[in-house]
Amino acid sequence: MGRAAAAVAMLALSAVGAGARAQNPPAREPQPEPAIVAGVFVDTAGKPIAHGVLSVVGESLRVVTDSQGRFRLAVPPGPKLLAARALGYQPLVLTISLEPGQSTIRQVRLQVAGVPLPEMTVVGQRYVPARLAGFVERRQRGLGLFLDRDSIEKRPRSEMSDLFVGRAGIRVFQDPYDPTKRHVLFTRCEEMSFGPGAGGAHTGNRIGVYIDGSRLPGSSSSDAASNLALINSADVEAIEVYRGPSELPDEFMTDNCAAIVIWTRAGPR
Amino acid sequence: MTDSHPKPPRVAICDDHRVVAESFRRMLRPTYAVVGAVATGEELRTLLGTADVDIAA
Repeated sequence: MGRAAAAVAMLALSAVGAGARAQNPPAREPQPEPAIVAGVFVDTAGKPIAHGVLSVVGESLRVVTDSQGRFRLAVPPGPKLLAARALGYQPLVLTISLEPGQSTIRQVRLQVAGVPLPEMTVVGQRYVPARLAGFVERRQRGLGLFLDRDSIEKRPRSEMSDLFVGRAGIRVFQDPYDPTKRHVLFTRCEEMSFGPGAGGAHTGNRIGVYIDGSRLPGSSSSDAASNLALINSADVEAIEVYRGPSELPDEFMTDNCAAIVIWTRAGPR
Repeated sequence: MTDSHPKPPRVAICDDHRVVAESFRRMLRPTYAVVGAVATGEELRTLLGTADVDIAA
């Protein structure tokens, strides 16, 4: 027999051997038919509990209840411990012992877990931007008139100067000769300018209007009113008003007799 | 011969606060002709390149 014929004969023999192995696979241990546990999670009032978890203790088998509290879990036969859990309920352990292929239906009734929480006090504080730290500090000193967002919103107004109508020490009025003009006057400054002891001289009835820390040009009562008219009150976060030199803090003293200091919600832009 | 109605000086205003710029614009009129109000130095540079300005403030 030539070399080629010998090789063919060997291949044929090995094919026969392989066929024999395929016909006799290694014996596998027969798996017992699982048992079935089905049922529903309910609370003590009989209301279904969704998203509860039923698991076999010591094994990785688990199932989550549906929106109706229902579950169905295949478990190995024999005695088993089942753990039932749901958020907000006390866990429960069940004992079952089922034969292969056997089914059982269980209603798992869980009790609400009362979790006592320690008493707490919640304190709310309105967010104040860092650039308004000065406003908060001056308001704490108490000298002047201070309006925050809440008090601005409460007051009916068609324009900014309306916010000062009826405030002690401030007069807001229409110019008698020019209906397009308004004035914002501070009575204490008027008295200092024209009152007794002033000698009739105009001694500093200057009103400074500031926005976000910048002084606006002009210092007369009509300048104050027209500067205020440029500002939309909806954009304003806070206002401080100093009605005379005795109220003016150093920051706004300069040569002012009175000052209106406005802080916008967005800041300079 | 002199012009009896000299043209007002042309002013460009630069301030990053819209209200401040608008207040200056209002105060300067009509003595000055405000050619524009811008918020940044870059915008001012562009304005000066395109408009005839006597004073930038």
